Amino acid sequence: MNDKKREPARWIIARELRECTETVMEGEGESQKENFITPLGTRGRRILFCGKITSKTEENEMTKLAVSDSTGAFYVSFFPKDFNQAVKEQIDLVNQDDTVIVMGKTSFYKTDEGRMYVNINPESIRIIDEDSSQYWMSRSAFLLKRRILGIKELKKNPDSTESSLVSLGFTEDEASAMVQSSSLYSSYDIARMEEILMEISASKVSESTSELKDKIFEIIKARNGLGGVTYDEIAREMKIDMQSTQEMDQALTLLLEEGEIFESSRRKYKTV
Amino acid sequence: MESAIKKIEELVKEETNITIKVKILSISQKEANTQKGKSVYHYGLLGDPTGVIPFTAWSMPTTVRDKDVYQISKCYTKKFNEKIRIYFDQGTEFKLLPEELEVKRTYRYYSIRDLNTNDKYVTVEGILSNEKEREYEKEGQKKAIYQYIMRDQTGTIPLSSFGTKLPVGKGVRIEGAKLDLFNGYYRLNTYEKTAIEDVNLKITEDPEYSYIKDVKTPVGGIKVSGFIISLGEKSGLLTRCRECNTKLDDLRCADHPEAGVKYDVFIYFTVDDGTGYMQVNAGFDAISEITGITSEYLSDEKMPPLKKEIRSRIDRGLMHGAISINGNARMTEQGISFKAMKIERLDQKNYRQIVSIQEEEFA
Ligand SMILES: [Zn+2]
Repeated sequence: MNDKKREPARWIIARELRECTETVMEGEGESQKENFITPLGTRGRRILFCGKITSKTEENEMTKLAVSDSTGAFYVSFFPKDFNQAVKEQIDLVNQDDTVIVMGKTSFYKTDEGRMYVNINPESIRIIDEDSSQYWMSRSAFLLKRRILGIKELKKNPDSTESSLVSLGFTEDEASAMVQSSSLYSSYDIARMEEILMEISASKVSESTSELKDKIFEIIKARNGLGGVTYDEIAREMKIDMQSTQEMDQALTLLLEEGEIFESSRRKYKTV
Repeated sequence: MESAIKKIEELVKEETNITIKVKILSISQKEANTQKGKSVYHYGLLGDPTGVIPFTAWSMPTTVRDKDVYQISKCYTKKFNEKIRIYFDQGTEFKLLPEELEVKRTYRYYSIRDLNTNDKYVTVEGILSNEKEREYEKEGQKKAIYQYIMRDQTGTIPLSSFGTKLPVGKGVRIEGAKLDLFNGYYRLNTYEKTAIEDVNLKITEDPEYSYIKDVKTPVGGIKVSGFIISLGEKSGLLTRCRECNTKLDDLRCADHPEAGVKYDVFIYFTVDDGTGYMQVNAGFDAISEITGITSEYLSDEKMPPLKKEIRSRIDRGLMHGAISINGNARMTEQGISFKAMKIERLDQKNYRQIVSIQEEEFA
């Protein structure tokens, strides 16, 4: 039951949206709508994103939110009307520092210098947990990485078409936006976005390491009285395979450096 | 003395000292207990322009590889389960030929998730379970049909075998199974010409995640992740007739006005995983755990469940985080419709599976 008319919600990171300076008209005749199109091949007028609310302000009746996804901020503004009372209830429930998922329609204004600002008119906003936000970021980065590969392919082979991209495994939807984007942003330097992608995967590692750090600390703390816990015992308790202790080593090093634990004898640890 | 080269299609009865010119299509290795202890043998498929046949090699030079063409002499055939099979032993001779050999129609391999009736005869690999035997009459004779559920890492599909019992609980490779659409679902049928082989498969109970963009096939056991981006307005509490179980719009059933009502829940929503979105339906069993709506709560005589409370539990359980959905896709006139069997919150284990599938794409 795919409702063909539904406007797809694009999963896009804040930094990619900030790179956007172009819009295109999509659709036929009366129902033509202005869509953003980024240099990385995302095109649409509805987006879905997760992040932490860094500010919430109310002016007159207007509520403004800034939501950060660690690569930048999304700007949301909401004006209550009769038809969006459900969104009003949702927005009243969220506050600064909450991690949220937002779906909304985009609107744009361009400055004379060619900058473009994107405002998001929320259709739903709800508090979510950290894991869900991480899932969104990971999937959005994955989709961005796919598109970067596609755009590079277009730059490498100027004869590439939508159908040649589809034959490489891209969806028609992806291919069509990438081809259009590639011609609109012919001089865009894609290396900038590749760096950002690297940063995202690096921060993912550190997030999981810090979680591991907490768990290891708890294990060592629980057995402090017994003269410390051996490396092997920690690995066993954590159910970590002895072939892949890299992340555990990293977490232990951090705990030692931060002075949370010390080595009571060789490869045996106690909390301070 | 070397005998004349036989074609695969000529191999119909048990005979010895055969010479064939064939392409090896697949080779697998297996350990077997013999009277002398453990031994290793090989099996697989080979073919020529007239057909494909399974082989067993009690002995075979280690240089024999699949996709190569050989003239093989001093081999023999045996019949087992009405199927002919070719055997190699220590006396068999292999001569590598530097030529290409066209093999009669090989059937393209598909993951269950990727099956498509544009290709009616296919190769699939999976594990069979849920064996059911049924009898039917053909030309006055009683015949048996065996029905199974086949599962691979991407999904499940019903499979019927006419006349032949198939191995359950271990990996099989089926070449030339016929695919069709029945009652909105895909199913597979095997018949005399279908080649069935044991294969070593590592398939976990838990299916791998599919991207929503790839859910196009009406098969079962599909797992997807995502966020619910809209919940159907009429999702929530509903009433059914106690007698006939019909969903009621009114307070009583037209046919059984005295029977009273019982409560149930039903939801429908759109889920999006970034690659696409789809419509999903789910009933009580699928959402009971994630929403905390229990059957006790629904059937409490003294305190009937409240519509508002149910809606708020659905909102709390489903709308505030990423979810994992296991279910079946069905073909309807409007396209694919997805019925959830189980909805869970996405946990760290799910998340790691998803990340590793994403990473595979760039490996
Ligand atoms: Zn009734």
